[in-house]
Amino acid sequence: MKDLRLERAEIALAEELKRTRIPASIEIAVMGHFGRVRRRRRAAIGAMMCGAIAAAMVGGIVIGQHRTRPLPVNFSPVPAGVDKDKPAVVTPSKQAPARAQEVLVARPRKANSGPPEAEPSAENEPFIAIPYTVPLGADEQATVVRMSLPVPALAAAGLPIVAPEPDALAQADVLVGQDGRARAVRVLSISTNDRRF
Amino acid sequence: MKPEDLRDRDTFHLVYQAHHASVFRFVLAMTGDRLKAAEITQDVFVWLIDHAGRYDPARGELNSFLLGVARKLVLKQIQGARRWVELKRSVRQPEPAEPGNDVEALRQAISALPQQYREVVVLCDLEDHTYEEAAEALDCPVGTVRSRLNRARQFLARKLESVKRSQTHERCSA
Repeated sequence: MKDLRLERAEIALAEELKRTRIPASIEIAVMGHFGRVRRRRRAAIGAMMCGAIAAAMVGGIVIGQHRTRPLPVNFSPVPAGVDKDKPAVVTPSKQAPARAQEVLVARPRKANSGPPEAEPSAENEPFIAIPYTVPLGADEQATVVRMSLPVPALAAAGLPIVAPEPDALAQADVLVGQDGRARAVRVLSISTNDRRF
Repeated sequence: MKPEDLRDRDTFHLVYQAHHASVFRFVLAMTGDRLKAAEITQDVFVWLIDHAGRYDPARGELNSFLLGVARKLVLKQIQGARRWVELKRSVRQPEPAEPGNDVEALRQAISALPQQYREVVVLCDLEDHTYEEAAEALDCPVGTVRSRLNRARQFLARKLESVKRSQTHERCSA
């Protein structure tokens, strides 16, 4: 049970409180803070979006470079008991088998962007090491260069290739080491004056 | 009202218009100081802007939530102010209420109440909030609100009675 005098006093005090004028400066300060926070939030979202786009672009560039970069490969040494006259076959490096495998299928990008040519199936063949050359190191990088070579020159270098004509030319991928020396060859096709094998 | 809605300027302005008076009056009654009340009211809404996600509509009304925030800021302010004693208060006692002015006597009696009793009197008796709303704002059970309010009323009634007795005594001696 509430005291009557107390109740009257409370009602009067509540009325007095309700009549109290609230300073307008509070509203100005609060809404000003709201605007500042909203601007900061927008700026942060914009910065995050720019960062994400930049990261995606950098990632794309890095992945693109990784795909076209020539990777190191190892030549498997000729094991004992194997005929040394038979040319060695290039195999992927044991340290980096996945990367070396990429070399076998990697294609250098062409500068001119013409229509894609029909790729010969010989590109899937492994490289044949040129006899008596120093094998590539595990971390040594190699470059694949596509060129036309006289077939007799390849035969003279010790590669198991038979020249149908003395002036026949072989379209081949040559694996060149960091020292600029050819280490392995992959013959794609052989052409004479009137025929193509 | 969802917390995400508070990020919209117009919605927030409506929320401010609807609740700022209630928050201001509560803080004013708790502190008895207009400047502090204005400052804490501003802090409550600035806090709401920065922490809108803390409001959970499932737990109660936005007004109760804001009063709860205001209460915490008032407590923080009181705890901070304990380290300092005003010069005028240290040398001069508060003036007694004028004879016949129960409102002023009540104001002084309320300000003399311990904080947990003062806040229930302000919310339930002066601001006409229900016990449930007060319990949400104070983050305590409804039964606690009832018992605190009962004790606070007894204290205030005794205080007003003593003021009345002293006034009668003064009249007789005069």
